[in-house]
Amino acid sequence: MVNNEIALRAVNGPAEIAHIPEAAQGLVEWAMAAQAAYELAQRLVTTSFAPAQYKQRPDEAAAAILAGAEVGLSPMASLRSFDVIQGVAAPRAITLRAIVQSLGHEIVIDEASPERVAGRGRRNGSKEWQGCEWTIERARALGLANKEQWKKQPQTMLIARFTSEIARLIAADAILGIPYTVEEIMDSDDAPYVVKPRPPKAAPQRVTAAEIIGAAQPADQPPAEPDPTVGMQPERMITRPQITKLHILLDEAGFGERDVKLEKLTEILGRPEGNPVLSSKDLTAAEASACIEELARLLDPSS
Amino acid sequence: MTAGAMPATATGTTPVDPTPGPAGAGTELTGTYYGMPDEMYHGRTDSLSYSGAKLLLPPGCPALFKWDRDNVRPSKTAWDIGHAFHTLVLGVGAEITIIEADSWRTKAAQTERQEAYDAGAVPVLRKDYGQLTGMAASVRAHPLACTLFDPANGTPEVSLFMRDDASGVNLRGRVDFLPHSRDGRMILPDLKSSISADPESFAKAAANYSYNLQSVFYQDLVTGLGLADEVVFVFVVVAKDPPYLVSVIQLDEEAERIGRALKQQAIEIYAECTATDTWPSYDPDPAGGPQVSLVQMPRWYTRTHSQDYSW
Repeated sequence: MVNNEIALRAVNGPAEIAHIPEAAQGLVEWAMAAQAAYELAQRLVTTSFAPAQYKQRPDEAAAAILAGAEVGLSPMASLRSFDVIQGVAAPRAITLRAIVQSLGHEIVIDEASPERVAGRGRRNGSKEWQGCEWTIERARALGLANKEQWKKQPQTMLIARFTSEIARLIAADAILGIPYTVEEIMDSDDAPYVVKPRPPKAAPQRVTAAEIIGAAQPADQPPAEPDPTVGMQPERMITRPQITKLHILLDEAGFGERDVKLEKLTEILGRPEGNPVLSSKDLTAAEASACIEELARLLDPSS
Repeated sequence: MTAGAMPATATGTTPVDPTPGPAGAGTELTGTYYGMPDEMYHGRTDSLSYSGAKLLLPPGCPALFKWDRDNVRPSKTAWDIGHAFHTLVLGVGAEITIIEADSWRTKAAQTERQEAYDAGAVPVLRKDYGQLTGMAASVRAHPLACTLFDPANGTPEVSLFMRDDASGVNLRGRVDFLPHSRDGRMILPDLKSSISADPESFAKAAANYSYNLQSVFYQDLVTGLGLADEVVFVFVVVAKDPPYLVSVIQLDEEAERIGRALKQQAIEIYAECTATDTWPSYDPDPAGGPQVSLVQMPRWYTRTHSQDYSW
């Protein structure tokens, strides 16, 4: 078969994979890994093992697991080591150091103070050391020193910057695809928010049968005795044709105003003073019938 | 022959005047309205309802929403059956008129149907009425469903109106049944008839009809109006065929999260369309005039046939 021929669809089975070029196979494998990561994340985020920021957030957890897998971290280690900021999974600086050191590369801090952090890094197998330093002046020149975390813990921030820089210098291949660490993103002027575990929105608890039955009882009253005559079959209410007929008869009988109509209905029904008819729609079907009969009799005494 | 509502409503406490003005007109409504007639509720075209929001979003579009808003939809048998079912279970709604015919094919049946419409009633064939009474009886026999719609515990068919402060858009909803206020979270039930009461099948229907959007729409109205601090929305799903099985179903948090995003999207579309009085159809770039839409086949289709062509 020449390259531009359309491949015949193979029967289901591994053989068909062989027709796919290597690069495409990689994509297929990645897609399968992504699916596996998502399925795993769905299970993990409901457990107490998942860090708080990933609780009930399987999409973000899957992104962290995939990003971690690319640098050789296990799913659980990935969840502990990555934060997701604006949908991008970013490792903390300490994670970068762990990745680099796990591959045999060396990172040494020679000096650490709130003003200066200096150290070295050496690639696995190399004899040459690569030096690196971060000072508070450098941070100030970049407009970082006034940021909250830099004011609170300048030495920690200097170490974080030193770590990510030296890691890139000696082992760029090991951390390819990780453009920035969490600390660097948070130093950015358009950093969206301070990284902190976001409390997941409380998932609504499933309604229980007991809750439904319990909700049926008024809060301030004891449960009523079950009454077979009460429940889903209370008295039938006024129907729309009854409403229409009622108002026609009231108009014909000279009770045109709404207040006068309601007063007349109250009178016909013999309602006590404290319980007047407030709307024709409040009448039961039986009450409406009684009113219609009475009004018809008023209009035509012979009927 | 006319059949009344078998079970009827709770006695209507009316905390707000139920006669706020003519349909589609008058002052802006905010609050809880008991006993508002159907035509008045649906005539409030100055507000966005759940069904309107659904029409604004794909596979609907603003042009469809506008048409639906500005035109009276012809009745469909399925809607009539749905309305009649609500009447039988909730005890409120238009009168049911039973038509003694096997189908709507005959002239006589069609005439009777029109007469029922003219009288403001819902026409239902005798055979359908038998099915509906069976379904309603099944609801009453189900311990949870019966309790959820028990007139002693709340009021059926309550209309809710409020303004969304962030967008200035007026929202409205008509809940099937508003429970009385009490301690604890409110359980707001919604009645659905369905081919099957199987919860998994319902999940698919929920996706097709955006029931998650309805769930958050009504929850937000109830909490926004201060009727409850916390609301849980549950669907009482009744199968249309014997033995008329009933399921009480709650959508999960993920569904509601998506529903809330859909709601926000619909509100934004509505606000923009209203402000500019433009109601675009399916054109990819409404400002650019009619264009050809380039579409991808559904992912499942592409995946299924991914081996049919070479890379």
